[in-house]
Amino acid sequence: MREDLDQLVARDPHELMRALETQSILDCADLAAAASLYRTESRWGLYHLRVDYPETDNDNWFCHSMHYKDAMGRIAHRKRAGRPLYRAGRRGRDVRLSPSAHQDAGRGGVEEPTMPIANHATSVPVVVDDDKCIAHKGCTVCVEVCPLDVLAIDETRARPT
Amino acid sequence: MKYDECWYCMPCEVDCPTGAVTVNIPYLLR
Repeated sequence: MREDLDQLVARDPHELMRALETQSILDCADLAAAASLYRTESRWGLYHLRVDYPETDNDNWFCHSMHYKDAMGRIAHRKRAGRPLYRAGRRGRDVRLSPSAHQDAGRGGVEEPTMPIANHATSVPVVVDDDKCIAHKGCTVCVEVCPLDVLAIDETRARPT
Repeated sequence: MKYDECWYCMPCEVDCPTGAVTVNIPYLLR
């Protein structure tokens, strides 16, 4: 397909826009595929699931991966550190860090700005009616069907949370 | 809760045997 791009012809500005757009789409597709091959672990549920690396590897991959073209136009990669988006708060609740907290944390020792990483759950748009829920009878259907493991049974209340 | 994300894919609401689960879909996604 990359070779076919050389044959593209634009007869008017609209087609020129489409032709350039096609090149960008192909670049993005190549970079996305290269990014998936670069990160040799699984993370974020079905977003990045590698059959050959099914486990999450926080020691090596709890970071951002940057993908770009080098001076030769070849796809290149590098890792960049990230900081947690949340910190542990009182009563087991995660507290979202403010942007200013990131700026403060970024001063001193950090050579380049880093982006926050979300690594703890906070809230999801799923509401469970306690009166109708039968989790206390052993039902875990909603937990099992969720592809992202958003839901879990709250053992103290015997309800999904 | 392992991930901070919901895909609004709805099987939790559809498969719940008692209709106890509701997913609040943002207006713009409907």
